[in-house]
Amino acid sequence: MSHLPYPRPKSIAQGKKEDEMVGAFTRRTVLAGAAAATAAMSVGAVDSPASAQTRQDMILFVLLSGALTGIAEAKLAPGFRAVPSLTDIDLEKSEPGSDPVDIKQEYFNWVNKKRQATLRRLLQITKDSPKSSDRSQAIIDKVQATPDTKYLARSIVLMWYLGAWYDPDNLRALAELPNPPAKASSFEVISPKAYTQGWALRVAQAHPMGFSEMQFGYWARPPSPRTDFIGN
Amino acid sequence: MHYNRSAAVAVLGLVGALSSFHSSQAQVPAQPTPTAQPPKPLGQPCNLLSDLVPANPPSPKPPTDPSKLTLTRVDATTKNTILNSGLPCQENVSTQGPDKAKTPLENLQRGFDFYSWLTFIALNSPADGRPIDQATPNTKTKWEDKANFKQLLDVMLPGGAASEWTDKIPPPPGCKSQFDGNPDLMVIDMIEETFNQPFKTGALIDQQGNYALFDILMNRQMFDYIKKHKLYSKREQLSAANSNLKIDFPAGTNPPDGQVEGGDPGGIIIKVSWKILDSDQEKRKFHTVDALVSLPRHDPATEPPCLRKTLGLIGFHVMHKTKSRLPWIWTSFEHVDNVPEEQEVKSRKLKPSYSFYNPRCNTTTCPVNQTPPRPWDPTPSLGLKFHSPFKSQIVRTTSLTDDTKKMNKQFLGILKGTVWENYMLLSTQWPSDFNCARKVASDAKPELDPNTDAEKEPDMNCAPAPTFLANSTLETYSQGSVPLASSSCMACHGNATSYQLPSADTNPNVKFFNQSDFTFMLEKAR
Amino acid sequence: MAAETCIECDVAIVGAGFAGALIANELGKARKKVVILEAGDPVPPNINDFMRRFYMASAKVPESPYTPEIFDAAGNLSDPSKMNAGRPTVLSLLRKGGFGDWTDPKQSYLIQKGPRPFASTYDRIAGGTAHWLGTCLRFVPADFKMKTNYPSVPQFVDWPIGYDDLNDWYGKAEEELGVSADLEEQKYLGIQFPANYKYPMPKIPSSLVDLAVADALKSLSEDETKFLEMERPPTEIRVRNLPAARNSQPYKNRRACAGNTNCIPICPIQAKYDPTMTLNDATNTGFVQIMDRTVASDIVVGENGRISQINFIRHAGPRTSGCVKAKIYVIAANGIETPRLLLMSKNGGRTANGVANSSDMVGRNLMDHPYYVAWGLTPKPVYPYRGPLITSGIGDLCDGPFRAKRGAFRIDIGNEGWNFVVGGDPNVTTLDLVNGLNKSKVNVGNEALFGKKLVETLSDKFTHQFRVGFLVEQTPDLDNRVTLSESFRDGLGLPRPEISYDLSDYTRQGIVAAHRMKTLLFKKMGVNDFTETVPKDEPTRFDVLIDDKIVSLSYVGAGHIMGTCRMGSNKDSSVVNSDQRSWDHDNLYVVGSSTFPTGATANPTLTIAALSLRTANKILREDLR
Repeated sequence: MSHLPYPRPKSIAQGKKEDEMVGAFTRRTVLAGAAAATAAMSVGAVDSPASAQTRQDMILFVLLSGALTGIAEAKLAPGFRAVPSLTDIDLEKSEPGSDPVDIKQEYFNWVNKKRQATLRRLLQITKDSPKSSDRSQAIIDKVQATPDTKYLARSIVLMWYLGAWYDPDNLRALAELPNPPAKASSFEVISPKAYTQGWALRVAQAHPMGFSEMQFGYWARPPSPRTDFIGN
Repeated sequence: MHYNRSAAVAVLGLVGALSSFHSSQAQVPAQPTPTAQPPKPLGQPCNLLSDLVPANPPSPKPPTDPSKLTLTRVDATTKNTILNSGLPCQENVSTQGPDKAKTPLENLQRGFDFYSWLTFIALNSPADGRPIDQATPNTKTKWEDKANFKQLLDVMLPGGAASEWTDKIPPPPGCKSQFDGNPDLMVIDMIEETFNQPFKTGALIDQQGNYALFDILMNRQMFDYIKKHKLYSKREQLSAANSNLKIDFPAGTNPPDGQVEGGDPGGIIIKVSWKILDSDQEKRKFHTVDALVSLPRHDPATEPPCLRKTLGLIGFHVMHKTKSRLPWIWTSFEHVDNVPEEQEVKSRKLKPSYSFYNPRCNTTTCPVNQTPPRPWDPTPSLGLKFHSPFKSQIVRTTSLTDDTKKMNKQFLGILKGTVWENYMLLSTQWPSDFNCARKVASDAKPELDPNTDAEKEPDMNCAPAPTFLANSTLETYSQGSVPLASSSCMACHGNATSYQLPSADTNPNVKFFNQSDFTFMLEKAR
Repeated sequence: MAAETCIECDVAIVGAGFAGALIANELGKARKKVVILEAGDPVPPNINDFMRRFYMASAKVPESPYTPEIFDAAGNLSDPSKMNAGRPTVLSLLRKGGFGDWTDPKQSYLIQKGPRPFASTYDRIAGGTAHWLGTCLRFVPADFKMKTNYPSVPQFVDWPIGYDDLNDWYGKAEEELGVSADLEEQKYLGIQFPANYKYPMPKIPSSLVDLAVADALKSLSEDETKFLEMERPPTEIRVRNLPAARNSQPYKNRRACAGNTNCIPICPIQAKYDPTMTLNDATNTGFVQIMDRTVASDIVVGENGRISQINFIRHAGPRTSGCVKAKIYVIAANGIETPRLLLMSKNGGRTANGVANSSDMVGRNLMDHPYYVAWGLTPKPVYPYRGPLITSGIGDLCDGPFRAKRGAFRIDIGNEGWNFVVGGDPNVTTLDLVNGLNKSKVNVGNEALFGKKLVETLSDKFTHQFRVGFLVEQTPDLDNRVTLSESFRDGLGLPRPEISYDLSDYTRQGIVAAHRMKTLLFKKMGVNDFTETVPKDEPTRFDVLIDDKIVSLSYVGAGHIMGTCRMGSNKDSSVVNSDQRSWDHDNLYVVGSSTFPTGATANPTLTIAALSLRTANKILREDLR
């Protein structure tokens, strides 16, 4: 069977090995000192781009992503612990999460490289958001105030959902122009790992196509409840 | 001194993948050098050592301040204790550690690696009960003792025949005369999987032109479960009686808090790789076994040749199921001279020789990690020598982590002077989603009946850490980091199934499972 | 060429696909020396590279895991004139003037003359269809005798063999590939099995989507189904499990399916059979050698009209040429590349019309299964995107009196939601709901959502997605053909295939019937129809009158390339006989689906496999005794 035509991709990351992708190697800076922590798979040091990312930044990134995507923070970043609680977070005491896949690091590095300044603003919005139960909604409302935060927020959601990068400028063209150029539809897959971590089909109680972690015959039964998949 | 189990920390009902978990832990006082003891059954009692000890002075309560934790010393002062501590029944791991820079994942990994070393030492300790530092290269190990472990083909018998644990299975007829003269020899009855890696991914040829050989063994607990449910027979697997069986091998459990006895190691499966040792010089650096190797049977009428060989251990996998890690814990060791790491090749920091790599051959003449030219089946007239001049040129593409290298250095230090100083841990793969990994029937969801470990969605493997793991002699050709395509113990074993069939009863509420609890052994039932 | 020493062997095979691999393996097991010339890249020791390429592809089309690369560095379709072993891609089936223009030789490997595009593709590695779904259907008995059964349709011819000739060979093919199916379920429309026959493995469990369809078709009125013009209007239409070369148990050292929902283009755990498995067995006999990156370029006819050698060009590194001499030659290069090779071999004018072509049938009667797709949202969740891409279908409508007037159709029940349509979900619907677009047509208010609302809306859409496909029978038409392009060449300087293709009225009426069936199915299921017609200028679109209303329909390719070297009982109107031996050249066989005189509705692979094993047997018993 052949497939129906797809939109034309902008550029293809061909032959790019997963190891070369930024984020395959975990690096953390802790308070005053920098301690390169070797993740379970050590491949060789990969610098995170220009500005040093702090532990706080990562916690804020996870909170931001949780609010925007609707997926539980502890699912996006296994091991994430909000202390004392999700609505009343102490950024010093909370845990950004620690897991073998560590896709949050790969995504943070990616967005930081693409739109560092706007990312900073999104993290600030997250930090300034009220400590209340509708904090997620407050973040969602605030990011839509200006086009650059609005569209970067959308790029971040698509990144988590599809493991692919839809550039904010392209998203803006698609959303606002009556006749967007063809290239505005293009996107690039971030890495094989990112593709397999996509949430779009987990929200549907399934899995990314080409990546099942389930066993023979599961499709003959109704799936587990959605909350098993997304935590919320 | 005992610590109580601490509860997982839950946040708004969302439980993270890693919880602070200390299992029962005993502090073993320093002992004088032990004399030979009568052999203890493996895991009796359970080894309760952990990679962490409380800071001085020992206190009955767990330290609330992680900075008071220290790593268990692995050196001359603790050598005897550690080398004689026995087999762990369950892992003793913690998200905590003395180094603030380490993540919870790294702390747990260190705990698992420590557990792996204890396991390796216990299994490879002399079968006669002496401590491992008194072993010579060819001292029979505990796992080579048929009282403790049985080879897969001695359980999956022709015709699906039943057997007892104590049955002495006769060797293939072609080996009979040699075996009768020397019943202590290990017998390897070669099948496809003895020389061809899983899913027929390739044979492995050493630098002397010999085939590497692979074998699988199981412990008593595995055998008893298989026997109880008649899983040694393909026909029985297919039968209606087994339609609704959810395969669930016994899990290792520590003794109850405060006790020393009462634990059980649960199911353990070993997979080994051997190198054929032709020269005496080679024999000194490997743990060796004298064996009879019966070549693969091609034609039911003729007996294949049975060759007397000295085998050297080059790879060692352990699968251990524990109550807290139901998707099993996966350990892999290798001989230090097998292959160089990719980094070492790039920086030319190479040894003068390796078993599966020629440092003097360039990548054009000797392309790396390529399978041998076919045919791969051994040629009977050549014994176990490969038919062509080809030698496998293998490189390990994923480096060991610094933490694992550090631990290896310590353990090789206390094993110095024995042949076991030539073996190193690659890593331990373990399910990092703790709440997924330890789900028990009592957590059953009524709407999912029958509840089973196999039903976990979305990830029945519970987030393996590290994501990928490959032994250069056992998963030689599928090394890498591409999801599903590259070697990962759990991602691959999670696909293992039996021959079970759905019951004829088409009651839609009865769910069918043929997941074989992470082992491919049941496929071999005849 | 005269100065060169040719490689010598018992049998030379062109193409390492299903047909070539199976024949090579049979011959190798019998200790016959075989050389396979495979145009594409070598088979790697693992599928790391294939999977990496697949995961990274933005367009996850059937070709996406495999080389040659679909796109060049600039993001354009790779130029076919520079490819040494090119192949078509579904991305070059788009309208004139745009990206992927189907008539643009700089983008389309096939030179498509029309009037409609031939919409199926193939790869160039391990043969060309490792990307297949895995479906292993037997033809129904009537499929072999279309002229006898339906004499009013002028294009039809009979196969020179019948179901009974292939029954045992189907069984052998099922064993070799490893087919999982339920025996009783497969006994329909006259399909029967030898006594005590058992499929190698039990069937793959049906999906929840299958159950929803089966439920909806359990009780129908004759009024509703009379349009089908079956023997009697059915009051129930059965959904049957699809036999597939997909493990439901450990089999031949492969794992059982884990429901990766990715059969096309590649199974990440190789639970699905592909020809590399038989190729590995074949080379393991020690008698079979595969020469990869080796393109057969010329079949040389010697004295007595026998083939004396095949010349080839190697593109593994610097280009070299060579030749192979054998007792028997087998061309197994797929329904387009096989006629291309035969036509290219002109022997200095002695075979000006091509080798094996005294009938003038080489290249003619090109057939596909034009595939009509429809999609919608179900009233209750059916939980798609789980399990193999397709686990069940409807074959009971594949034969009946209607076949005198219109093409039959077989129904595919898709498990993969809208992945196959709308430009590729989950990406399209997700983008719609995040960015306020409506390409999928489900985001009517162009809402742009975040957080909980996004989760709920997306979940609601995905879990109700349903798609169905219809493989329609195509008539063999003389003017649907493969010829050689006079103007356009590939990277080796060989002429590219030129395709003329259209859908006959018979075939289009089959699509119309499929459309009516879709309407009935959607009505019974309560599916909200979201099927979109492609824009007017898309070449795969056509308008028909249905119940006095103009309806626009379109088709895609099923990946089945048949008919171009058809078998028959008469050398004047066919290329090969029932053993697939050329009428013109004693020591030449042509195999694969090019030899199918009619295409019916079943996926061709199992029949290809059965015929290949039968031919191998013939070669061993008669030619190489």
